[in-house]
Amino acid sequence: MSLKERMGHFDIRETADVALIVDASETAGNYRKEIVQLTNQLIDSLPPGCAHDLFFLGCSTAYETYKFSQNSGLWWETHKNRGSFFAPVAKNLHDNDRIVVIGNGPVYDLEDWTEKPFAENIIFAKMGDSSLRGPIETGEEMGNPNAQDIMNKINNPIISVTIKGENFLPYYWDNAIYHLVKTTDSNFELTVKSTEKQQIYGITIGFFGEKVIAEVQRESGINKVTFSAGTMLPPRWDDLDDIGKEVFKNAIVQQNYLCPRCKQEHAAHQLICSNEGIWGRCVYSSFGINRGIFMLKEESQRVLYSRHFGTAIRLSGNSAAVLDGRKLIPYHFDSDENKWLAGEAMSPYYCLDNKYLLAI
Amino acid sequence: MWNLIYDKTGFPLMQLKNGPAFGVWPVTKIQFERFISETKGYGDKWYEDACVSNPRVSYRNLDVNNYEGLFMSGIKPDDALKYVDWLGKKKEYDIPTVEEWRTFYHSLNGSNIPADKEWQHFSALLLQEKPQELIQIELTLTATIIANNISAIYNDALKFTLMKDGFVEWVHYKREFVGLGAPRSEYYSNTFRSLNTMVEGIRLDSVPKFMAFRVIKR
Repeated sequence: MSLKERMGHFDIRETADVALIVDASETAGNYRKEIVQLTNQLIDSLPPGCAHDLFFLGCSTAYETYKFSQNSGLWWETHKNRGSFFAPVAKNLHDNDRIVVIGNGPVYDLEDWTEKPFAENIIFAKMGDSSLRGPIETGEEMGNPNAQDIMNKINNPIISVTIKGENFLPYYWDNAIYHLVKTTDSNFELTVKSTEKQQIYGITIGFFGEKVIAEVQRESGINKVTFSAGTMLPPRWDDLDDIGKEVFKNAIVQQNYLCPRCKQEHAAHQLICSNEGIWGRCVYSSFGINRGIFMLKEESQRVLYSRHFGTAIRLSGNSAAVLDGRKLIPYHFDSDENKWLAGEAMSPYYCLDNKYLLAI
Repeated sequence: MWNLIYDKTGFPLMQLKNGPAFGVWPVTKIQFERFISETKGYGDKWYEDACVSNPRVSYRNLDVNNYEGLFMSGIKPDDALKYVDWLGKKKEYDIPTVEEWRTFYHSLNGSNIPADKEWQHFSALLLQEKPQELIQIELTLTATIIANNISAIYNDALKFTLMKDGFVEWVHYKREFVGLGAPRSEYYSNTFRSLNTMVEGIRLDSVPKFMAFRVIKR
């Protein structure tokens, strides 16, 4: 029985996209100075790397935020008295956007939007005496906030990400900060923890399994991210150097070879020369210091190599090989037991569709 | 007998064969809000005053007791005419005449409700989610939810379209405006009869909450 297989992209970002919505309606007119001032301060405080747009209540046009300070007068006059309606803006918002409405007086159609995922992320910056959200308990309303108060709410750093699901076993992923973890005998997860360095958390994966989601632990709590359709990058094939070619050609016919590093004879399938360095060194100098799963293939007179994306690789419709130290362990999905079962470690140079697999 | 078309707000109209198309319902606040947003000239204060007598109800919270709150009522015919002017090209849309309104009423009243196959087909069409190519997909879906909610209350074509138990609707009569239609008694106690009572002499300085309007595309 074949498992479900998918390619998916998880759009996970350190800082959510921000939409600033300026209220230039009649009820906000008396607080124009405060609204414009706070909007400018917020724009100056936006963290690097976050996408942002600026809107006016009642209008679907997205403005470039950095042009606000120079154009606030003109833009305000354009949108003055337009009416406090969310609908025209709402269709331009995304589920995970952090939204700040800066103004005064009720947003009349807010109730229509309370079931949208972004509704909980709205911060209402009330700059006058009249509530923006009225009795509708969605998002959060702050009275005369300063920019820092709002930025503290918008900044919501990631602590960790865990991608998991039923019978989940990924066999391709394009973001090396994620590690494959075997949690129990039958479960796999892809995980990453934050570091002091800024990291990119977006990832495309090829996987077996169902109900696969990413649990993103942020300072404010956990949110679950679903995937959209993703595309696998084709492997990049490079020429193996001549010395490596000799090693390879001997190895696949089970012949011992003369090690290019220590100049002594090694067994055909020996991949690490233990006479070099404390931990030994890979006999293929073309691989450099990289570790992981490598693929080799012959093409006429050439021998090409490619490093696989991820530390597991698909073998068939219900099996994959997982890197464990310097071994590849095959896992087969047993539909009777409904779990992944490990097999014996695979020999080096396991042949898969005319490609030879190596675990380095 | 009927075709379904959509105006630029994404809301449906019923088109009579070889005849004009009528808004399935009176104009909603959601539609009028879009008009306000795009045209200016009607600020927050105007809108708040307009909603005092018939407060806004979200389409997500429609029920048998409050559905009138979804619709734009209590406004002058001049404001209704500005809305229909905005809706299409010059004179493409209007509010109906007395005769046109009655024609629409008869076309619905002729149905053997709810067994009438034509009506069933139409309401099924209306309850479908429309395809993505529609420009106003968000509002069309909103209209579909509204159709779902109202059909849960009424499966009678006249009531579903609020030609009965809806509002008194502004219509052209000679060079003036009069009202046709009958609200349900729980909303406004009255002795109007939808078809026959022509409500005249409505004060324009304080339009009652039971006055709404429906669009026609000729």
